[in-house]
Amino acid sequence: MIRKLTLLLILLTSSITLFAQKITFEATAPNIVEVGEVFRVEYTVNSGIEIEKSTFSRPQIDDFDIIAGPTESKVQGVSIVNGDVTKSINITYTYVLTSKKKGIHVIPSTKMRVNGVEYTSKPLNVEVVGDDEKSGKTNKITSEDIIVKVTTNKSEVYKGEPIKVSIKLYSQVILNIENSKFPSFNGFYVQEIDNSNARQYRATLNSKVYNAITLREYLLFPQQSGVLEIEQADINVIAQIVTQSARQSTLDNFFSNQMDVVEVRRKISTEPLKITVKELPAGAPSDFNGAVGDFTIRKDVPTTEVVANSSVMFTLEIRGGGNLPLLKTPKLELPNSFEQYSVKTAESLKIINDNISGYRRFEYPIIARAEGHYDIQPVNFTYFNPQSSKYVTIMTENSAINVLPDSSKVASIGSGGLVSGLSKEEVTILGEDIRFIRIGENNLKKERSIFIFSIGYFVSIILILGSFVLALIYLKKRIKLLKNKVLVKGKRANKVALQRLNTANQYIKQGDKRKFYEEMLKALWGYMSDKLNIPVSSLTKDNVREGLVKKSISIDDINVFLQIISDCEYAQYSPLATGHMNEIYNNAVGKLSKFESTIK
Amino acid sequence: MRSIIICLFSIICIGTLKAEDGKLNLLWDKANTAYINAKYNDAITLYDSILNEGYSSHELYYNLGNSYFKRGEIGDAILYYSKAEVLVPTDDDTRHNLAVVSNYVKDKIEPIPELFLSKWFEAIQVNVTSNQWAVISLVALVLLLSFVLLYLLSKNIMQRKVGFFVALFALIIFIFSTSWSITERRDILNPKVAIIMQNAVAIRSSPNEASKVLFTLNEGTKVKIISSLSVWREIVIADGNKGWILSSSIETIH
Repeated sequence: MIRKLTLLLILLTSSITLFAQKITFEATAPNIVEVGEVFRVEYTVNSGIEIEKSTFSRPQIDDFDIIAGPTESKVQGVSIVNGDVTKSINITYTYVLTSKKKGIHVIPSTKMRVNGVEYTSKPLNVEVVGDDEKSGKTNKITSEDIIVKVTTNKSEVYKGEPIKVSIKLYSQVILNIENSKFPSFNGFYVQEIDNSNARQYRATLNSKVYNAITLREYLLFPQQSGVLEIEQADINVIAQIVTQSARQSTLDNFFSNQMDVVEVRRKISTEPLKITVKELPAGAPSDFNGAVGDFTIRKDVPTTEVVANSSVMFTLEIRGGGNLPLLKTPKLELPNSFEQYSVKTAESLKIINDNISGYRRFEYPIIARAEGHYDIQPVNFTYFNPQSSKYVTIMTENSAINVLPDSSKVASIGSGGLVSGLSKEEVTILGEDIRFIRIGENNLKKERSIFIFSIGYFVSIILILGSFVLALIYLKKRIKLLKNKVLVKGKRANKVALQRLNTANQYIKQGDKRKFYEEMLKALWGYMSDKLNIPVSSLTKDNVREGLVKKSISIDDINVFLQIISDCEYAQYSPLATGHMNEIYNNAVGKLSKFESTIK
Repeated sequence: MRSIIICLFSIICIGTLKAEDGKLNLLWDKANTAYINAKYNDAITLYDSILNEGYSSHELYYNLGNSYFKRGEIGDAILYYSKAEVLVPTDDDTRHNLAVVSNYVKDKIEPIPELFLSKWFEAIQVNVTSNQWAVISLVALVLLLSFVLLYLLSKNIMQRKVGFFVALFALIIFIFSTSWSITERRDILNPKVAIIMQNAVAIRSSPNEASKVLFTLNEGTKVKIISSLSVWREIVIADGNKGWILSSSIETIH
């Protein structure tokens, strides 16, 4: 018994835990819906344990229109009851459906895989009942009740010429606008016009009265030529249809106005629109920068006098209708001493009766660096006028600006202080002043002649060269003269000596001993005198010896030669030495010829 | 009778010369006084009147440079200091003042680094005037020829060697001094160096008002003229940049 009880207990508890871990997958939907009613179908996974991985396979819903879904939502809950922790996890996939057909329709079963196990939901039957009166009302909303129109003010434009596009909604029923898809305007530069305060108005279309409202307004600036298409716009609306209440209760009748509101969804699309964009004609001036429209230009300089190194703001305003947002900054030509900084732009656009007008303002901050009077070149602005199909160049009027000297700078130079315009990094001698002027001698001269290539210069060159040549000639002559004397003497020596020797030879034949020796001595001394360039008066044996040594004659020859002289001198006055005459003669001739060949 | 006329004439001539001298000295003293009394405008007018008489000197240019600087005209100050420097390249005061005034020139141009040798040569060259170089060249010529004589005529080998080398040395000096003298003469007759006289002067890519502005120069910057075409001058600045400028915006030195 006790065993049975415990078994039961165990079974019970285990079944509880099993229940807690169970995963369910269910589909829920209303059984009966009306035609056109929007209802929900929910697929719910309920689990007591953590869902690690789940895959939901979408059901094949054919008989209903899917308005939205599936949307996934997850809910986790933890509850603690008497210490028992219970977790619950819900994942719901929701579809929003509607149906137009009457009858019983099936929402097929679908599968869900959770943590590797597959669960299948039951198929659901939904009965769509038709309320004849209601459906009649719904059907009453024809395509003529709600109309969306895209209108443009032009269908053929030049490239860059603005087009205004309005998307208007005409309706005969009360409606709310759900999400809508507006065209993306490929090939255009788009500027949306703020119409947040657009109001409903009454308008007639196809001889019917509608409530009209402008949904969106755009300014389009075509950027390409050719036929450009404005895509369709899809607008989803919920029309509210007011009907007589179906419940016929006296009480209700009395208190309520017996009205029932039915909401009907509709998607309304517009027709795509084609716009022909023409290329701008050829022959644009060189400074044409893409401006299309009709403009005027105005320049504004706040002052005509500024102090150097202070800033001025030049303003250029282009006013008119055209592609103002796409205007490029006109170039402001300024003298070089002006510094230009980045230009600020401001613009304003207004649309009055389909005419776009406004202005674009360019502000040029400028700093004048150097003083002086400057003319400022007019600013040229060229645009294309689509009305006349012509390029038009307009310009600002001439103006001038007077830049006054920077007073702080001049004053500081005078006092030797710092200069505001001083921009060098290394300032070495600053603080020192220039040195004082020269007083006293002024050395003023009328003209500064250049010496080189002047007459004086050439005269001096000629004088120098002349004196050089003269000196050269004179000195050469002197040297030649000196050289010649010696040379002549040396040359003559041999001749004279030979003559003397000849005479001496004749005296040998005559036997005149005294005259022979006399002639011999004359020949020998004379030869030496001429050859060694020693005057006869200062001829001595020592002189001769010295001279001959200088002429590099060997000592032996010198001694022999001097011995011959000594012998001659001795024999001249001695009667004994007769027989030697021939010997002396031959010796002397031999020596002289030897000297002659050695001494040049 | 004739001799009396000649005598009288010469007396008058000397008299006018003397008078001229006195007048100039008077102007000079007046101008200096004006400068000392800080009447720089008057000083400039007076100095200019001396210049207009056709007279000039280093001192005159120097004082004019000072006056212009005191009046805040940097371009003129640099111009006159540079003129003074040409006449007496070695004057210390001129150099000092030129350095002081150069600090006020807005353009800071990084000069192209030169070869040290050419720097030396330039330093030697600019410190001596053309006439001084001419005289040096003549002295070198005399030296050259006398040592050529020694070389040609001497019999002694030592003397001949000395003659040859001294002559060679003198020849080198002669060549350099003559060429430098010629260069400086050319610079004087056909001035190459000029000073910018206005602020923010446009240097253009070609001698044409419509051509592109390459860069701008400010008062006091020294430029070198390399060619000219009617009123346009092609200039090169210290960093090697070239361009065309209107001749009215610059003033040449010399």
